[in-house]
Amino acid sequence: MRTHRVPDFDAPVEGELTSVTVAGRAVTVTVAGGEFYAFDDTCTHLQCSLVDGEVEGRSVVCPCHSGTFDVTTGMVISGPPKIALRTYPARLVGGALELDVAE
Amino acid sequence: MSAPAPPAGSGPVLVVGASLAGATVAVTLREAGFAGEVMLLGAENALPYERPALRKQYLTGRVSVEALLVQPASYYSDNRITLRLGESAVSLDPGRRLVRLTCGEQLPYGTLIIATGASNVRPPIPGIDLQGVHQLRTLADADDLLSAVTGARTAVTVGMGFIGCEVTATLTDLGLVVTAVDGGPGPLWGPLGPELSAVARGWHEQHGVRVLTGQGVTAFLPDATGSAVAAVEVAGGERLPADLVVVGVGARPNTGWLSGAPLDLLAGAIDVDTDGRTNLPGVYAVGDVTITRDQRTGTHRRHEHWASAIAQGRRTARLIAGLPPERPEPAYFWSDQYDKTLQYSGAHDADSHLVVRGDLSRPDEPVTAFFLRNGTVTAVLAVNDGKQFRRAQRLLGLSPNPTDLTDPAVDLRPLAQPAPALPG
Repeated sequence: MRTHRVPDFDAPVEGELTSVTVAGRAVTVTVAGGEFYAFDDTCTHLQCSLVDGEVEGRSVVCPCHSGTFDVTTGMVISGPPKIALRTYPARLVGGALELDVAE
Repeated sequence: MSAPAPPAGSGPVLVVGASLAGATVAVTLREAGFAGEVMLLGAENALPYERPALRKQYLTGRVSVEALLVQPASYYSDNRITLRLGESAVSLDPGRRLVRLTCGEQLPYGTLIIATGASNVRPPIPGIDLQGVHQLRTLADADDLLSAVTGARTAVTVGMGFIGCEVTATLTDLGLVVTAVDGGPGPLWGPLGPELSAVARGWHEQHGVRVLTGQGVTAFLPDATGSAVAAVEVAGGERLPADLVVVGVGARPNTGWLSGAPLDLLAGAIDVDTDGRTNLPGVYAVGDVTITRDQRTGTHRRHEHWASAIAQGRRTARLIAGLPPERPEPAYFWSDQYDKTLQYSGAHDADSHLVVRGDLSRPDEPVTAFFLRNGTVTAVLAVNDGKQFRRAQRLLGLSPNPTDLTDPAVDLRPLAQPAPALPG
């Protein structure tokens, strides 16, 4: 596992989404209950970009066909996707986003 | 309250129709811990699959057959769901609790779930049987169309409901020159009304599709061989060149095999309550074969969408498994056409009027719209505006200030919060 740092990270407020590129991957970040959650930006259904979606509690809803994932685990909650999202442990350290990416 | 489900263990659960709705019943029974025997009978020689992508991403090669499957093959054996594919039911004897198959075999059941879906209407137009005149409902239909698309230059689509509109868009995206013909006033006029029909027409016309509405097809005309279609003749006499044709003019519930059983039908569909109960004990129905009676309002509605197939399948399975019902979700569907994704939720009626957030005359901008009846939101829809769509969905059944709905600067989220109670 490798920890990636995004310096001067413009952190989203609670319930909002923002995306960053880490190790060549588009990763979307949200804050729920004060915790940072990071996951692949690409919906596993038809590859829509989740950063344009909506956060509802601890889930993220895809803007295209309302596929809904648990941001804490990446598991599909409802809707057309069948494959879980990849998630990354994330935290804010001194204004930088730190993301753990398994090799 | 409602009548109790038949006791579990009084015989196998037989699901007739390996549709999305039927497969969802079987899968949900197992998820709910139901331990009894479950058999899924399917007329098509294919594992249960989902249909929405058949007229879009499957045709363009973006998704494979595997991606359409409700579950991989191993799921059914791992979960003791017996699959019998390529076999149809021909009659039902509810007194003896038997379903007779094409091969003559009779299958006993304790609980029967009818999920035989619907079939596309084949209008009695001369030439409908010509090679190159396609329907699009099943995986086999999609594979036929896919092989016909290679080498075709021109196409005519007949009917501009969801299937017709999506196929028109897909064939256009694939490079064919498409003419879309509809006997009604405009694309999606029935489900979405005149304002949104005009928007959908604009999408097609922007992509070079000729849209002919208010025009019936009078004949499919053959080529020199006499066996394959070459043109479509419309009521005005014009002949539209067509290397291939796709007809999508509605569907009829597959209830023919039930003609001998005293099952209540309404408008050709099986009359069920929101949990899938029919008038016969131990017999349920789910999906496109049904018309649902809302116990609260007494009204009936047909739901023929992906999400309703799953919701109905889940509700009926939970009832049979003895679990409490899930909170009913509002109806939901989507339609992908070109680079547009339309999402709709709720149920508007003729008394609902449209309120738009955004500008319908600017097709490339995201837009969200609300149907209101006496100030109450009956349905919401959005085009390429998924975030606002979710926020709008929370307003279903509420009566927000319409000027807040139309102002893109107003955050929709607080409007869904209950207003503070007035003093006194």
